[in-house]
Amino acid sequence: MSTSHEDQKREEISEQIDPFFKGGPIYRRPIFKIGVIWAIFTIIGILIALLLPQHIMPTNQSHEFSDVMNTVVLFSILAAPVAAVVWAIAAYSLVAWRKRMPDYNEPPPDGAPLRGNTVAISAWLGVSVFLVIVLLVWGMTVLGSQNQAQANTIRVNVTGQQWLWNFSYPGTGVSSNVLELPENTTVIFQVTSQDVTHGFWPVELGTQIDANPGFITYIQATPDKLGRFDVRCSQLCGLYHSYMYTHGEVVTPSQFKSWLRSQGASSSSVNGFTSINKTFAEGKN
Amino acid sequence: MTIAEAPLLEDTKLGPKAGGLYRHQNFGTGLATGIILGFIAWALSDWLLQGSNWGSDMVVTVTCVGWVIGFNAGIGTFNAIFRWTAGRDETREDQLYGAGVGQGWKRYFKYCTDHKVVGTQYLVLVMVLFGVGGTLAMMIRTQLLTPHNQWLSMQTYNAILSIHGMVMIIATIIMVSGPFANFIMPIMIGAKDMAFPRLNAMSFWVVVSAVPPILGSFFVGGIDSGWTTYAPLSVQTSPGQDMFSVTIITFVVSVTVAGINTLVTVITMRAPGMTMGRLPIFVWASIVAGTLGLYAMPAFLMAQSALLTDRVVGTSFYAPATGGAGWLYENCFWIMGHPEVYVILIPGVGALVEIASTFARKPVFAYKAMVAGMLGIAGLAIMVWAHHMFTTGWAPNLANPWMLTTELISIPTGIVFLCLVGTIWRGSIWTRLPMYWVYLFLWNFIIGGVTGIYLSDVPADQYFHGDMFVTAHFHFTLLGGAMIGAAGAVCYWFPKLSTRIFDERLGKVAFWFIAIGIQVTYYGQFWEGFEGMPRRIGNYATLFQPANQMSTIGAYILMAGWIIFGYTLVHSWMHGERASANPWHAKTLEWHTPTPVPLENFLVDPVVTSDPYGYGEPEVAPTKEPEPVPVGTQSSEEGAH
Amino acid sequence: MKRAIGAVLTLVVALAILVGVGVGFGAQRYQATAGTQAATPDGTAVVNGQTVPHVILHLTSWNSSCGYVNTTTGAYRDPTVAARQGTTGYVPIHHSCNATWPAFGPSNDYSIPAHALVTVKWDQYDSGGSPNNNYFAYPHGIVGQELVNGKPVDHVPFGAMAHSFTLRSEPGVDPGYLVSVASEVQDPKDPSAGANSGAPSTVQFSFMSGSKGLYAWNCEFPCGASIGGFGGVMSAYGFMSGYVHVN
Repeated sequence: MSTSHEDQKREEISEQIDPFFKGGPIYRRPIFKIGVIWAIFTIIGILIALLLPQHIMPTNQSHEFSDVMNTVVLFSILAAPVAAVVWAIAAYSLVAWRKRMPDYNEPPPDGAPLRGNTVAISAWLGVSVFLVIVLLVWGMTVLGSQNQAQANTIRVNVTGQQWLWNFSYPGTGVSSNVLELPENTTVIFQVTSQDVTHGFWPVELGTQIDANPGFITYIQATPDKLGRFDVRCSQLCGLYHSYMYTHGEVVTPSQFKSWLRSQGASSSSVNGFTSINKTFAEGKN
Repeated sequence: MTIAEAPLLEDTKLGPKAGGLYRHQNFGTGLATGIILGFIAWALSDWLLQGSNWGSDMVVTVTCVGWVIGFNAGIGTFNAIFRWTAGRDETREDQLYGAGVGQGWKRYFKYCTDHKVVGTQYLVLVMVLFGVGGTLAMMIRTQLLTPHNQWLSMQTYNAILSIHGMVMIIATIIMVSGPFANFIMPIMIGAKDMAFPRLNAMSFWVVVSAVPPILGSFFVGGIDSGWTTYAPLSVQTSPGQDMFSVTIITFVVSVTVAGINTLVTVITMRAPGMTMGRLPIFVWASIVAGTLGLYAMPAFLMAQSALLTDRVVGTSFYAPATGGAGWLYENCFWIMGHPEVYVILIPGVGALVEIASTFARKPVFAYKAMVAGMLGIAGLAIMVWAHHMFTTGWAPNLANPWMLTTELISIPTGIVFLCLVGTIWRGSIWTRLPMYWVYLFLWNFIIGGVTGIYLSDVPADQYFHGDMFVTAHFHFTLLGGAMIGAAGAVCYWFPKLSTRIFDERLGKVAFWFIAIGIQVTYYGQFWEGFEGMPRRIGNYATLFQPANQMSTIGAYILMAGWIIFGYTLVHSWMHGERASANPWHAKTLEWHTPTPVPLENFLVDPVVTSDPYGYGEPEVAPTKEPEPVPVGTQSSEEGAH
Repeated sequence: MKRAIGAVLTLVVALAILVGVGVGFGAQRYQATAGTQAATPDGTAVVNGQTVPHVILHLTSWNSSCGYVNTTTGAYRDPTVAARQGTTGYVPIHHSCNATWPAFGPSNDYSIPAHALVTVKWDQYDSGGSPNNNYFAYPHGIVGQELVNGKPVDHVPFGAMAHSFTLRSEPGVDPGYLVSVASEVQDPKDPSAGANSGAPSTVQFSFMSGSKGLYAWNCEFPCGASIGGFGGVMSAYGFMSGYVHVN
């Protein structure tokens, strides 16, 4: 380590040239100007965060997808001022601190010998830690709420194989290549594969899990909007991975029961499948 | 003897037998021996395995191993071992021959132990690898211009995307560590060479031998499992997968050896007065990255070795039917995969910090915090790998701890930004070409880093995993961050490597093409990701077309930028404006030695009296001025060569 | 100026290399020896009260990809006979003959009109066994019943399944479209026996084609090497996979 004598000398010089946090007048103006640039960047960033994602993301059809949207918006809003700090200082540096010398090969005179600033470093660290805690608490809360055992759930078996998905509804004997789901009912997908690892991704339901051969993995979703959603494969699985696509439909509970019957399930097995929750069995739409 | 009278080591006249076998070995003999041994291995294994069940996988593997061993035997990797075991270790003359004395330009095609030669060899290799990987990338982007393009069959497309990924990973791992940690870093610490010069040459030639197998995989059916080659898909793939595994095993040997070399060099060979606290940031970056690679890369070797035995001899590490699991592969892989991206990034960042300091004419801001930040990134990098596995269904209860460690990495990464921004703050910005890359990094890496935060949040990752958002994120960080660092390093240290200045006008043209190309290409891919387009697909639903078109147009702009950069590099090397020893008036040690750099790097043994960031500060005179000692006249010889 | 010309020339050379490499990769694409096989028109048919065009498509799945097929009669000529008698009027089943690999041939690319009734007549020569997923032993998405060797069946016997012809729509087009029909082994008494000669087992079924687009089909009975049986022949495009161009 350098001698303390050298450190001391440097401190003295730095203090003379940099009365920044001592309230020197010279540095309020750059701070203000940088602050303006920062504010502009932040506002643009927040506007993009609020307006862009919902325009380019698919339809929100589940609680989990809502969580994704909220996370995207929140993280973007929090990221905007952070990015803006870096970009504002960088932009300002090119405007205010750039030194053009008459001889291109001649370096400009040296800048201020600032080796560190405890306040700046601590503030930067402090804000980083605070932001990380916010993001973490948010993430853990959302994840916790997603994993909570729900009262009314149905289970659907998902089997992936090269290169198709099929779904079966245990107990009813119904197998289908289309994932029909009842609205407002939590579904637990029991996912496996016959050959290699696939990624079961019902896109508009905002969640996914890998289909592993030899194991069953579980993920749950609660669709809350009627309509069609896509099921894509998100894990490269060989030759026709690009075509491993199917779709699903979120329908009303009574439409769901009639669909099961139309696929050949007996009425008793349909009732057995959906009787997990009384309100469901009573055909609440 | 005065310094002016001391003879230059590189002018030593060597005897006719100096170097032993090395006199007759070069890249050509390596190629020949490699092809011959590969052919013998192929013929032998093919004949021995006639009619057996083991078939083509074993034959392909044995052939590739034959090539690797043959090439290295032919170029001279094993000479030293044999001579030492035979009790006839290298004489001083042999060592000088090994360092390239008296061979002129030919030493660049031989097993040369001079770290400066190895650095330049790495630079050329990196350019070749980027050429290959970049061409494959353009194939991908061109295919994705229309939704149902049948120009590339799905099998070819999968092969291209897999090899693109691996070639780029190899190239980015060595792009800064190879040329600059080899050429520049020893000079920066005042050493005469690396700690293990023969291992240094070995690292280079081993990577060269690792490249043909992976490119050869195209000819045996290609691989369809991505560069990540997840099992069990990769157990199922064509014999190209065996060639891939041999490449990885070989490459890992090179990287780990290079990491050891870097670490030992910095620990043991610093000049007097160069305390750890006076080390330039780039040196810290080199050892952090090298050590991280040392930890992480063997996990890849293990994962691929088990894959190879699963394929070739029927073990069941990854076969569920017989007790294995694909998750085992995924874990081993990502234990490498995450630290590996920091092995790629940190040297580039280190170079950019040096550039920022030199071109803002200011000391590095928060030096100790920066070092702590790099160590923090490395330490945390070891603990975050399963964030690549959030959606695999493996250990769902551990999602929260992994989320915690992953989000924590943003803190030391933020310190890196603090350092760069603080170094620029109130500097005298000298906007030469190397400085341009610092500003581009500041833009790109924020975007790359922030989008990583989205992916670290488990619920959000359950939407974004496996789609183009991930692809855009890692391209922003690896291409927009680490490669920009490499480009900066090239422009900055070019005068030392080539004795000329990197042409600034053309360089700036390249810069703008690259800068704009990156934005257009990868904003297009973020758009694709938000829309829900999976990654690694060759035909897609029509709704993704506008985003893909944007990304492809950007890719062509980016390609133009890198080609112009490459052209400028070559042109400047051959015809550029001659540079002085210190054109940037920088303070690190490498700028205080003549250009071209003497064989043992310095004309006098350097003694360091302060750190290299004294911009704006008065010269601190040493308490006792040491007598200059010409290199080569004292017992400064121990440990060299 | 010189530098600019140099840079531009380098760009041109790079683009030329790109095109060259692109052509090389494109040439790797498997193209069936018999090209794309168009379904033959056969008047119209009435489905659900609507009159739609009717076409007939012939499929053949061979036990081994080595050998030749007569382009007019569909007769098979094995490699030794072809060596003696020549191959005029015959095309190879597959460009890369691999004796142990079965194949759909001589074409794996078909074209059919959109929204038409397609009747498939399938000659099946291969052996087989049990599928890894009984779902694919049942027919899906067909009009009427599946006929195996002339008799209507509910599903192909689970221990004697040979291949499936599984057609899925282009991503994003015709959601939920799936046509999947299985075939029986050549000799139900010995499911592991098959040969390119002798009497094939036949399958006939009809399905409605979807909207215009590029549909991908593949066999869902894993008979290849390695994990899940999807290695080897199943992963190499052109043997057990192909496209249907719906015009």
